[in-house]
Amino acid sequence: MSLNNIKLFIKNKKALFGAVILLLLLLVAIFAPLIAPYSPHQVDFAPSLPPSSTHLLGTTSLGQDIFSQVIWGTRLTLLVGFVTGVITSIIAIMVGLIAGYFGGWIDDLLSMITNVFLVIPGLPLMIILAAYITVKSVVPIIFVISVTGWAWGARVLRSQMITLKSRDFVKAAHVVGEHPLRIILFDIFPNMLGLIVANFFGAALYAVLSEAGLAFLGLGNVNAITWGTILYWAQNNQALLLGQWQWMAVPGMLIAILGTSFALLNFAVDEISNPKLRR
Amino acid sequence: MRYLLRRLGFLLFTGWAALSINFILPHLMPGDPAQVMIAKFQGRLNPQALKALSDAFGLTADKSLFVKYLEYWQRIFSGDLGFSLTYYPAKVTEVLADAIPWTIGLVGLGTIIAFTLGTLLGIISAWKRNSPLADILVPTALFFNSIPYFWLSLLMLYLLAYQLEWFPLGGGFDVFAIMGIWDKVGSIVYHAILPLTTIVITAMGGWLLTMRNNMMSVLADDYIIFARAKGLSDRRIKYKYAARNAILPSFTGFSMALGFVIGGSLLTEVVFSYPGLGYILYQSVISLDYPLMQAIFLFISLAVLLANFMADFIYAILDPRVKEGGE
Amino acid sequence: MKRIFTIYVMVLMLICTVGLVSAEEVRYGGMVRIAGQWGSLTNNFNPFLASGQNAPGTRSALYETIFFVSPLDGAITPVLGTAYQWEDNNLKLIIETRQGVKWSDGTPFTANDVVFTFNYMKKHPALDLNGIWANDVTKVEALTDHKVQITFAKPNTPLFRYIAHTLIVPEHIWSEIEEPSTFTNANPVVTGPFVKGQFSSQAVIYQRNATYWMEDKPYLDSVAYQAAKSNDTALLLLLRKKIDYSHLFIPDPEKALVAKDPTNNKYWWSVTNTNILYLNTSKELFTDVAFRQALAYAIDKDPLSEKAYYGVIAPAHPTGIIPGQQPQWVNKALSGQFYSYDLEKAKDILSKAGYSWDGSGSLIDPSGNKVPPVRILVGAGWTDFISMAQLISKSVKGIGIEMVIEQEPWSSYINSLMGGTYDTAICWGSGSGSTPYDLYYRTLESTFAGQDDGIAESNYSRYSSPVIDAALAKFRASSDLTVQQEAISTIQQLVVADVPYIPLTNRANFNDYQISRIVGWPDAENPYNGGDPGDELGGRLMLLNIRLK
Repeated sequence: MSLNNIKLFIKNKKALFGAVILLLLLLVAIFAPLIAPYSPHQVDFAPSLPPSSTHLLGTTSLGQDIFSQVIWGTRLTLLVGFVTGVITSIIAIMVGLIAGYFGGWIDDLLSMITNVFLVIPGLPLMIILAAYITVKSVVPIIFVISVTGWAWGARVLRSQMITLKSRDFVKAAHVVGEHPLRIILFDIFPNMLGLIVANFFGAALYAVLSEAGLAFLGLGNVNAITWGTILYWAQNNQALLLGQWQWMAVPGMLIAILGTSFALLNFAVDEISNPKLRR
Repeated sequence: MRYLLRRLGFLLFTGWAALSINFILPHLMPGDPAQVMIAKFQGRLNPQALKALSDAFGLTADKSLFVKYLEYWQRIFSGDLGFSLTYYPAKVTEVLADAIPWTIGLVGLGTIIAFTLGTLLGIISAWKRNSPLADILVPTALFFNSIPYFWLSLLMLYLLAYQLEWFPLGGGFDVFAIMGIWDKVGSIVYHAILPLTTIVITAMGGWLLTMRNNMMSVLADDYIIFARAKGLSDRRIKYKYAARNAILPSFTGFSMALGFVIGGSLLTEVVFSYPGLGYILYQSVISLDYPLMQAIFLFISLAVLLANFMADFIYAILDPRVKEGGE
Repeated sequence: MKRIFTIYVMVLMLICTVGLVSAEEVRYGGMVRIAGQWGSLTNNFNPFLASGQNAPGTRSALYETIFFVSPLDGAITPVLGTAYQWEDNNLKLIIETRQGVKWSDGTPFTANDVVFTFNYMKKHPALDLNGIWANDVTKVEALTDHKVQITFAKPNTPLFRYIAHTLIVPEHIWSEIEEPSTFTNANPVVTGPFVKGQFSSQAVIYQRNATYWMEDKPYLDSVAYQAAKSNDTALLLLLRKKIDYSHLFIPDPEKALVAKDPTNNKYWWSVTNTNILYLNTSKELFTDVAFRQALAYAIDKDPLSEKAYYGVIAPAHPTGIIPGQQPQWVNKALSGQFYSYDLEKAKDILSKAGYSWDGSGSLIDPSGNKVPPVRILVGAGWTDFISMAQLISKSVKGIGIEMVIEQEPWSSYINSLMGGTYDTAICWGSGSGSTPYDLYYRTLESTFAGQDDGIAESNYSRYSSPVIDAALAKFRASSDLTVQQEAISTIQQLVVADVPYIPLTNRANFNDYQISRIVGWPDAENPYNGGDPGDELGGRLMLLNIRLK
């Protein structure tokens, strides 16, 4: 990303807004121990308290402080989003670039694999995989979401690669006899950075929503504190029926807000790197 | 023609791979269906029943994985998908036949409405860019796109159906009433409104953004600038030239999205107790109902594959360029 | 002879209850609406299949058993049988069958139908889900048109409940059926109070059986079972009075159900089983009795009841025997040995056994190694068990033990329990019944401990004790209450002293209902069906007694 692009980024309201939200949530995640008044696992409080000054969001039916859970939940939720985004991007980049650059049978093979993963319905596959793995931490969940989520990015990157390959500067580098890896890394890659970053945020959004969905079905590790598992506990204790609406509303809203910030960044980066979308 | 043949070969190969994965996955899962059944009874059943149930399920016959794989293909071609273990001795096909219309109705209609609405709004937001409406549309779409399906479903269920009593509390139709055909249709529509709204709200944003971006790219193309210079009417340029070309990539996305939406509708169906595939899939996974799981995957995979092929076909007709140069 | 007498008393009591009801001027007619978390319903009314595979109502509205034995206290209600007697040192069971009963197609019911049903299960072992032929029964024959004799190779009196609970099918229909395990029986011919009406995969409706053998019953015209698919939906339907009854767990039923409409909304959670912390005695750590005993003293059960069950379901008795059976079966003389929460005592036991604690308070075993974290297995997504696991891990920190909660999805959870790969696990009593025998037989008999093929069918603790096996055999061989009580006493003494597992809380059937339209539900004051779910065997008695308000 050139200096010019960074300027564009700051001028872009969507990008700025998305970045600010994300930064705020990141700060919450990093300083969770300082912000949260209690440990999220502490079960010593009276159960099902309404919001008050000591318990901003009330307590769960087990007697945990919901506000502390939400604050701590930011950590794992963001972690799942980021790590999955990175893994998904790496797979997508490798598959997409190699397929697009080399073409021929390599492309056919990789595209076939990509298509298989596109065709197989994601969430059901995740449910099966999640059921297969004994859940002890969020690592398996990250693995499951990554395995099912990389194909879309690979497809997009591959077609971008095909377009770029026909550009003159790549052809020139080829004629000069540069090593393919060098061409991919130094000539083509910088030109795809925008798309890759956009794809990363898209994948992170997908990951956060998927984690919440799996947790809601009780397939995540419901002891790990993420916004998804907080929602799971709220629903299983009939939070809405028992008037504990904040238990349900706050984590759900936060997922939507985090998702929006990812989506804004995805959209804005796309806009910046593609001049046609900008005017 | 070469393009289509190539795509057909691709389709078959992808289909083979997808169906093979479909076969392998359930067999990787731990657990024994008969044990699962026994345990369900929480001690009311005699332990010796384990043997009886295993016999009943045909699980005691030891066959190699390869033989099972061959049988799997034989079954797919003969359309006999075996017995469901959960609903034993109901055939898998019976269970599916019962659920598929509901899911197709809900997901199909939801996707079509979301696609139409999203695409129209996308055209507007690209055409009227920099207007306040377009400025609001994009972030709103992004926000709706980021709401968890099930969370929105739950809120709507409790607020609109339970608190305000505007809508039914779930299910596909009023099961206790004895109704004529039109009353039944009415009941079905009434029950579908809330789940449908959830799907439309959460899926619409994606189409809006795709269409907007495509439209923006097209609008920057030379021929649109030329058309404007020639003095063609805005309306004509908007729909006849720009939108028509911009919608092409949306169409290929449409077929792809089908798989996602079917998966996503699972959660909506679970929340609204909708009688479709979603709930059955969830149930089959937790009760290790291999044949049912496989059949549902088979159905979804084939549906998406077929939709893909059709999209390729339409694409080739609409856009003559693809016929020449591969892809 | 004593038993026969009991039965007549039961019959008299039943007549009395009926008399009471009619005095109030019963209103006939109406439909009861029952919802459950069933998925889609299948058009299947085959009573031999496990429930869930046939449509709900098959086991309660349509087919009938010989007797109904209450899971609470073992009280026996006659159904198609009127009396029974053990003879020949408990090697023969004589059952008198009811006269004047007709199948719904008009054919008279006789003892031959009963004999046919049992022999049919012998011919098709896949139908014998209660394992009657696998358990010492050698012959079933009709002595007269209304008398059946069942012969045993060796005495097995507890098998009576399984025999009594066999749903009887008409010989003239089923003798033609060659493949009963795949037969859907779409047009069921039955003796029960209702016959099949309208069916859809979302709901099944049964209509009153015009030729039912009880003249004044059922009171209702029809019964509808609706597939609500999830607990949440069922609860909402109940709260909005779209249904009358559901068998479902409600978090905080006082607040989530009763408080929403205190005059109409009710629940009766009848205790029929026990939630248990199983200790895998095949793992080295749990081979040490002292360690197991210390754990038993270190777990505070009151918070489990208060937080996991909102105080509605009480902590379990250390013997695991449910409240309804305690008066008859708990040996009061042992009360000094019943453990309760006591950290000092737990530490005391551990120190005496050579354990110690390091600077940070972690437990060190007698050979000087730190006790590794103990895994506690629960089913993924079972909030009551997960909550309990959290509270238990907090509790045992008091003696320096670290616990790690491990969740597995239903299928692999049960696999881990049976396969013995877990450390400790929360699960229900893998056996429950009309006497503590069922609990102890399933959870402690060495046959089920997986010693032969590695699969522990129900003795998840993998505990084996010749004393217990002998006591169980003694119980089986006798129909004398005193002898049976002795046997149970021997077992409970070992259960509290040797701690093969730790009973945590009671476990209940969750009967939730509203009385705005329909009354006469079973409850704690009138527990006539033991609180069985509305689609299970005891559900028949519920359907016979509920009526329009």
